[in-house]
Amino acid sequence: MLILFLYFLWLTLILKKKISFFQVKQQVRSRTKVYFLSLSRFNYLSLYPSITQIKNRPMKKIVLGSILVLSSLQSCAVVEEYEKVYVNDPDMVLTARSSERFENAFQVYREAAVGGNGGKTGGGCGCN
Amino acid sequence: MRNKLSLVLFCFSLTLLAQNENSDYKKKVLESSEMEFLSSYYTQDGTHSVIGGGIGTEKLNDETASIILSTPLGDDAVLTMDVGISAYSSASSSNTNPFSSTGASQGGGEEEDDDDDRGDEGHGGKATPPTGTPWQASSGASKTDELIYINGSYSHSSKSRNFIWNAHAAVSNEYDYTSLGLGAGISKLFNKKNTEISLSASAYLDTWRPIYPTELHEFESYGSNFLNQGFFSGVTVLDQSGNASGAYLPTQFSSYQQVNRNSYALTLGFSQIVLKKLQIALSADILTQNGLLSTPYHRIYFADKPQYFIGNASSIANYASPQNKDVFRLADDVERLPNTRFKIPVGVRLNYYMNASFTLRTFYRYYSDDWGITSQTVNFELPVKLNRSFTIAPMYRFYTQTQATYFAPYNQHVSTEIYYTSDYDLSAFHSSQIGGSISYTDLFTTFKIGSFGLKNIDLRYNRYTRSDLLTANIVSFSVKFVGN
Repeated sequence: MLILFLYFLWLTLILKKKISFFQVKQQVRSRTKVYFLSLSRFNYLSLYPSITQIKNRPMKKIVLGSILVLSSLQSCAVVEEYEKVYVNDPDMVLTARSSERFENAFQVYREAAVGGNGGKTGGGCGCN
Repeated sequence: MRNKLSLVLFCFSLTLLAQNENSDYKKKVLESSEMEFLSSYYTQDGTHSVIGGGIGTEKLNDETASIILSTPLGDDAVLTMDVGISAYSSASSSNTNPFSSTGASQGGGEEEDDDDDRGDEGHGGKATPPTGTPWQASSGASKTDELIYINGSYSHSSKSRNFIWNAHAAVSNEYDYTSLGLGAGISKLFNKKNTEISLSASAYLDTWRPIYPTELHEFESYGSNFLNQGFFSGVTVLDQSGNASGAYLPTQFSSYQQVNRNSYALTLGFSQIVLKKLQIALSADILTQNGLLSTPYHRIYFADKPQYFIGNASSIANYASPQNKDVFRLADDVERLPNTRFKIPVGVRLNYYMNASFTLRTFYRYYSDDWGITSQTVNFELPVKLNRSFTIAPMYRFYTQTQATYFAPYNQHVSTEIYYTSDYDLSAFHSSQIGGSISYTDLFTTFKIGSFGLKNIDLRYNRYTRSDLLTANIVSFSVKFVGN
């Protein structure tokens, strides 16, 4: 449990870092553009290590961390079928309830965020 | 790095395939048909109408009803149909045409009109000049609309119930928008069904039938001489001082060239029973959209352009105040947003069975997109079992987001910007939602309608308040029956 808690805390911190995926994408684009404009392989090679470093650092951490945590979960004590009476309780279901769908719908309309909850992630204008 | 990652994924997939499939026990995936009726009533109000360029009433009522029917197909498959209708009346969107009398866009074929007293003649000669206000609903055609949707899904489980694949299709339609969706996914359970990994992909191919604000629609229809034709014929346009003016010319406006909006989603899910009383799920999406991501009737007012109005000249000084009942500012343009958007949400659910009475349900989501928005959502729910039939569940949700790069409030954009919107849904705000539910479960399905017995009833209420003073209330009701 502690590992799991620390993992999600750490994942949030990683995602909140200043260098986001989008900045990396933009940086790669702009630097690639420089390369094409200059038509010089030398320029590209000199830029390459810094791009690689920026690009790989957060992803590398996330991938390695995820593997570590997933592996650690494998080592959790296995709950046998006859012991699942608690996790099979209707209130323990790991998805939103069907009656929550209307709340989720208006939240998608009124807020920018969407997804991350296994629900609908597209379709509809959401414009009213 | 790529090679190492491929090796790790390959090894991981081998461990998935190597799980022993327990085929000793077999049970139908769904024992009998289920039918669920759902309905909701939603109402909201606020002071930042996007149709009014960031000011005006946001009053909206929405009533929704849907039926979900799930049928077992053999022992291993389930077919689900979900049909619904959502009817709304919106003061905000009705102000696409905010004027109290003649609007050429009504009869011009672009917008249906349910008001018999409207025509497409000029206004000249009529006794009452048109007025409007962003603070009240007009009775325009877009005041009411219906969204109709049909979703169908099919899921199939392996004999061992350790592998599930599913596919779904969805169609929805409203007056100015049609959406077609397709998707498929797979799930693999292993570790004695303690662990589940799922992967799904979906695509929504949507089409706009754009409706523009009346004044811009007229400009597009008649060109630079539009003030003497159509809706504007005989209508007095006022400048900021309240004097009649013929200088209003929204040259920044042009209709959108693209009317399609495509959304693609790739979702990775992972769930794990951590302890006998604790389970967790992680869901990460990669979402990308392209096409027309702006909404055609969202007005924009530029700070560096002269202001023009229709209505009562004496109300211009109070234009941005709810006291304004009879003057409406003419738009400079409609919102312009990039035609691509990339979103990454990551969500975690953690449910803990505390004891026979209490269960704790939690949800956290981090979201980021390339329009500059990051957000965080936290949700808590505490179901309390009062007895074997009744459960009450108080709940609280907190949400916060940063502002989109392209957002500015009313009259703060300038005409030299490339992208602009005054949609407060894209502004920086935080919101709280507080409410609860009461559920009744009929363990023995004693109440019957035909061959269906009542399984459960759920009633929910939530109040939503946003830091920009938008408030909303929603009541949801669902009742589920199972076939005998």
